[in-house]
Amino acid sequence: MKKNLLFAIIGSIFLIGCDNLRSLHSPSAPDSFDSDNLSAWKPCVGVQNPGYKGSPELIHQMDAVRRLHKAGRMEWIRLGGANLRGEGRDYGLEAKAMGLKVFGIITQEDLESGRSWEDVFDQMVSTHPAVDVWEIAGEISNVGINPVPMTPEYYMPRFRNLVKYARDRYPQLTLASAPTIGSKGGPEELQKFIELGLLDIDAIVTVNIYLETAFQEYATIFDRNAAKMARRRIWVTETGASPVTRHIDWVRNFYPRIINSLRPEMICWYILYGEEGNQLLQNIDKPPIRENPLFQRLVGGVQ
Amino acid sequence: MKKAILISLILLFPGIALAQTQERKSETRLNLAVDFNHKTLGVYGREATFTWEGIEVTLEHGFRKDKLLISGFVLGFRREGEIRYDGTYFMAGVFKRFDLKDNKLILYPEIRVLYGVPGTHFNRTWVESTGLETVRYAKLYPVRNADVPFIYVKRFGWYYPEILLTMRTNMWRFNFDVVAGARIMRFGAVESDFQEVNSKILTTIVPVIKIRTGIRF
Repeated sequence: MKKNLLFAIIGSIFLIGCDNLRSLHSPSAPDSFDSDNLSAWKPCVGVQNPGYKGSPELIHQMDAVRRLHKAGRMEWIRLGGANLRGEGRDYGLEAKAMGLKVFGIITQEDLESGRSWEDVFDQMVSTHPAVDVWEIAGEISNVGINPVPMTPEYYMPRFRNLVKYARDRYPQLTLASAPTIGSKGGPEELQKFIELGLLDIDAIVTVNIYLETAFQEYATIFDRNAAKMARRRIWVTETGASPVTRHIDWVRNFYPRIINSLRPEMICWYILYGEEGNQLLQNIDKPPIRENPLFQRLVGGVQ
Repeated sequence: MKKAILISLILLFPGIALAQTQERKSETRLNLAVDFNHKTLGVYGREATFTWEGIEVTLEHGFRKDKLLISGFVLGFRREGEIRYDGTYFMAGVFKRFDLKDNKLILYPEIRVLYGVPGTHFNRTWVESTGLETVRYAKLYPVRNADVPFIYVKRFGWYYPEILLTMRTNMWRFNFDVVAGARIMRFGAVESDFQEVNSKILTTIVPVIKIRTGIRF
């Protein structure tokens, strides 16, 4: 009788336990973010910059930037294509005039154009006076965006020298390391950067994150080097989800996890326009322009 | 809780010392368990509370006769969280069996090691900002201490011990267990204002309650 009673009690507790496990409750939900809103959003969006002052691409994109800025959702613009030819300059100037801060990129193509990195930097600074932070190359081993890929061993000594040069000559500017790839291979590259002394250099440490696997590996590196990285600012310079239906969920659920694990000062959404899937706007080249749901939520001022 | 675990172990010690050497039937069981875990950690004036559940499948083998005070061993697999990386473990352990009340109630002290990936669900960050600029932050993270095959990034995983006390009753081929225990987990903490940095390692005891059932082959 007693055995049966014990059996009944233990069985009941077990069934209650199983019921709770229909969805395993993980301790990942951070206390400070409400997954029903977009409170984890960080006010930075990447903008590819085709065209020039007065061109439809610039007018439509900067109009969208203005609306995001007015809604308090955009304080930084990350210029996707600033270069030595002056492309992107008008975007930077217009963003600056709106009160935004400007994050520019010097491409590997420009850095390796035959002159020293310091000469290229001088010219970029004079060509793009609106830029506050300069990212020195990006995804250096990604042949998809860099016709001439680099290795960390090639990159790091040049980056170190450039940071020293820029600090002496342009103390008002901040430099950021090349973001590592947001998918396979990126965390390995960051690990290599750290082994080669990245954390000894006074620059923002940047990564891109697109895949869960890459995120988990980045988190491992950040945890393992937590104390060494503690004097460095961290930026996630690209993240985003495809297709469009995943955008809001990405900000609600993935942004808080990035913040809890990597503690970035800024996260930039890739991109406003120009890449099917991740983009916040559609049909800029053939209006009427279509706004994706995340953009609508952001400019609508809806949390 | 820490005291309760310590007292339980001390009370069990005479039992271990006077271990029965009776022969039993060798038996193998497949068990399924759910568990509930709760821990609050204080980090540089902040608090992080973790409450989570896990589900385990274990294969348990009891020897016919104790070997060096060990009555059997356990191998198993454990999952926490919904994301595959957030808490996936392999487990291995040994236990000592005590038959009470004419074998109607069985007591199992057990020690295990869990090896797997903690994922990011034990990470917490607190940030103080002025405008867009972070002026100070504190971060809590699991101390990873083990490499994982096929993952290039070093020390992607961790291992830690778990001490359990199982109370079991059998009915026909089935067993029904209530388990209490503790895990010894290590966390790292960092606080920084980008000039001054404080860091420390916290070794914590996490209480765990499990409900388990299984079948004998």
